[in-house]
Amino acid sequence: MEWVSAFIGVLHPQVFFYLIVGVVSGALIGTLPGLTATMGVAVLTPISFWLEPACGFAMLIGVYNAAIWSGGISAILINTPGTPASMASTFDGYSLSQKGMARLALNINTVFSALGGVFSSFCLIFFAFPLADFALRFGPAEYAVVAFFGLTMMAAVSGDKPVKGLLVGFVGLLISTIGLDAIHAFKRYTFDYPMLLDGISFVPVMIGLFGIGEILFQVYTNRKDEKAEIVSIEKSNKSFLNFKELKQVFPFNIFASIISVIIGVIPGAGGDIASIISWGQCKRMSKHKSEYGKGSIEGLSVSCTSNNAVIGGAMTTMLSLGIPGDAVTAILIGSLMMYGMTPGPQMFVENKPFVMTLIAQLIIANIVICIFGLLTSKIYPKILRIKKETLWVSVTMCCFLGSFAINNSYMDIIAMAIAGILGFILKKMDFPAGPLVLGLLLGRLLEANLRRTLAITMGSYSPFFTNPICIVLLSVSIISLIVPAIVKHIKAMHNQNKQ
Amino acid sequence: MKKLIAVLCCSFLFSGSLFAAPAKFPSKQITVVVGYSAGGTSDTVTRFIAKEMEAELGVPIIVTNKPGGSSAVAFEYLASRKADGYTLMYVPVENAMVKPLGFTKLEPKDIRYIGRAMTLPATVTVNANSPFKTFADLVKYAKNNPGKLKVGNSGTGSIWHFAAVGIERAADVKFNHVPFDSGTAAATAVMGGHVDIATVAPGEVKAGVESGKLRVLAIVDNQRSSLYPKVPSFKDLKLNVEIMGWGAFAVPLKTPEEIVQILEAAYKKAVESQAFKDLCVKYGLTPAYLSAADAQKFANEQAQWYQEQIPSLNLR
Amino acid sequence: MTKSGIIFCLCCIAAALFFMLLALGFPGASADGTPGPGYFPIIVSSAVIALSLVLSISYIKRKEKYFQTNEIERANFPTLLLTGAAIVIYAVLFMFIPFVPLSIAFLIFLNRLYQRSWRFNIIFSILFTLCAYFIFEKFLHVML
Repeated sequence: MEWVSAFIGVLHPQVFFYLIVGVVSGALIGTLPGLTATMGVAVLTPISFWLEPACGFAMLIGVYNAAIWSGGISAILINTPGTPASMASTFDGYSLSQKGMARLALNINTVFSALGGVFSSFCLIFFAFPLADFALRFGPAEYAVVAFFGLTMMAAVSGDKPVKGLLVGFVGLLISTIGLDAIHAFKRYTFDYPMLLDGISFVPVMIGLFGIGEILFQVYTNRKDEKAEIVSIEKSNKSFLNFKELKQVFPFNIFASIISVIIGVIPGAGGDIASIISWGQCKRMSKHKSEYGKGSIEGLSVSCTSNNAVIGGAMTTMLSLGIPGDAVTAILIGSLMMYGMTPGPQMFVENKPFVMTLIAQLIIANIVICIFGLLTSKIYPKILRIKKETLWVSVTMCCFLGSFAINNSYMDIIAMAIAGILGFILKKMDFPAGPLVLGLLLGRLLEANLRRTLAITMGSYSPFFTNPICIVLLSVSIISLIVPAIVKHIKAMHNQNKQ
Repeated sequence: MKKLIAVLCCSFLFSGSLFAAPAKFPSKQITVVVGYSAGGTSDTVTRFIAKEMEAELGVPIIVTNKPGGSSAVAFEYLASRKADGYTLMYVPVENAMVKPLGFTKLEPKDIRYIGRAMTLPATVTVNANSPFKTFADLVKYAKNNPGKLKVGNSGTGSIWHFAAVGIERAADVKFNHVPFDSGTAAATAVMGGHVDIATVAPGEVKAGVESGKLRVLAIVDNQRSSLYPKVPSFKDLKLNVEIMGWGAFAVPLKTPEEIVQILEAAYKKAVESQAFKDLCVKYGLTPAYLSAADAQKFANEQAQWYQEQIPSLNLR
Repeated sequence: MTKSGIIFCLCCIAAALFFMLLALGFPGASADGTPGPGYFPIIVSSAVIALSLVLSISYIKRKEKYFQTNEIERANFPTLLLTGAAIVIYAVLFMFIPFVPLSIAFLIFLNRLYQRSWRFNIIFSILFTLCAYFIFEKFLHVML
């Protein structure tokens, strides 16, 4: 009964109006590369204070969910992730749209994002406290192992070029060591530039590698007489999956949602890590491995599901522990406190109706996104009809603006430009760029927590082999690295015997 | 149509500069730079004060985040800005520490303070299941087991690392310092039992205390915290550790005196408002206004003190 | 052109050596057993060097060809070079020159490079820059 009234409360015209305002502005912010969900929420937070808590939060939650969803749109259409969380969507989404199935890809993004979001909201309803207690069990050793597990995904992201992928990935790890070291606060490779103290940020590098790299590549391979290509952009009329395909992708999506909710619950690990881990892990388990990265609907649906499924997880940590699950929830905690509510277990007692309203807003926001996304999926691919020179120039500018907007940092602009050039070289030489971003994203997490563990144990590596979570994750990552190799070997032997 | 838009845009762009005669300060938007990401205590406090000052000065005041190097990046940015009073910065205690830490060559002398708003103490926080019921229990254990207690702080060379070192010296014990990325992360690690103690701000352990997962044993200050009135302060425990966080506002060094006075007056009003005091209670801060001159003197003294203390920490 | 692959590997090795040499000068592990700041960079840069060597050997063995260029690409090379240079120069100047004039110049240059008509070029560049300026500076409060 309480739930019914919570849902009715959200459908109240005024609240619903702000929810839609949030979804629409979130969609815009998320689509522009570099404008992240964090930034969208940060910009709208002051505005939300003018409103009642329910309206204000409807808007913020709309922005949060919609920005993560719509990050996939630019990933699919122009190969530039709109938000870091949709990096994995570029792998399959962009290939799909190049094959002329942009609309299909966009619809997959919309529907599965919404499904992931709804799934994680239900996790929040039913398992908030067990999940929160689970999150607390993640200490430095566990974080280090999670990061290691994420890094094993380099193999999946590199496709059929493992050595090249690993090399690029380790270069990414090396770049992640620039800046103050997290344990001794020693200045590494900063050459006394304060701007380098916090290292090379991950988002500008990602935007440069994928966005600018792709543009330069297009400039390079551009045919002057290319008219036929533009028509082919929408050559497929297929707008959604058929039943058989749905049956094929469904188990993977459930799996990805569960992984992502768990990653979302862990403070400090967000959608970027979750979507790559889900994508990589599903690739390992899939029967259609070879399609991943070349326009697999399975791969795209998994990455889309997982980045939105993180939201419920992050909200769980925020609401039940009062700890931010990611950068956006850090800001949301601030707004909750401004409204006089302290997130934490007592909020479920003192402000129970508001917690329910929040969860109802999450679910309804995802439904709104689903409808809005499906309605607009016909319009978005029209972007590709713009003359490609115009598109190049506009996307280049957006990449610059987005990179600068994150932290107002000149360093980010320069990092973006260099990453763009590097992205072109890598692409031209047939190196995968994904592992570099992965290395940069996880390097600091791995190093800081590895050394933090050693600081706690005074130099002993034992927690990695005695903590249950570590044992499980380490075994999974080692098995998933070794088993495919063995299977391949056995198959090869089998074939030889046959001959 | 396109032309119309262009004309509209242009007129929009220039209207600000055309109609604003430079007679009176302030005549246009003011920017406050924060050296930390959105969402933290520094950010919240700055946005709050900015909103209050906005009402006082009658021009929009916007807050932007320019994180990096314990606010050293924002510090260098401010010092390089035009001294016209339209760029302000939230200066935290780290402002006095960044030079000895080697992050920048600037020190508080190189900017002009317009006032200090508040101070914030460290807490000594343990897990609710911890055997330590009082601070004395903890000291007793630490004396018998030097280097055994794992103390989480917000990063090597950060203010809460100093707080832990200060406690070590005052109580004559030895800890194992474990740096985390933020105070909240350290508090979370105590909740999960990964470290024994966190010496972080009252606001950072609030959620944990209210959910019954954390216990505050002492406040490293001369007075008790508004958030935990039952917890003894270090003065109650007859200990003296003069290490605390603080927050102030500053402008570039060469800002004209009359502009500084206008800003100082608005700042004073904002900080002494009841709304700000309520905010302080919520976040466990201690309202502690200092005038521009006093804040400058205070910051210079702090810088002097950290200049002497940081090398002895043997940070690398 | 097996060379370009090997040149890439050599660049990686050079960069890794640079990182490693500096890292060797970092302070070592502290007394309590926590590895020092150089621990991770040294491991990673060794891995980069090893992988580069493996890869360049495979290049030499298989005589893989990279940077194969066709006619279209050769014709586009000057455009590519100028685009890349413009991007880097823009990034460097971003810090020193106010956003609006710099961006208008950048956009005009790029549009000119891609052989757009002058009329389109100027209208587009000015409108785009002004819109971006308003959205980012005034609405999103970015300090352009």
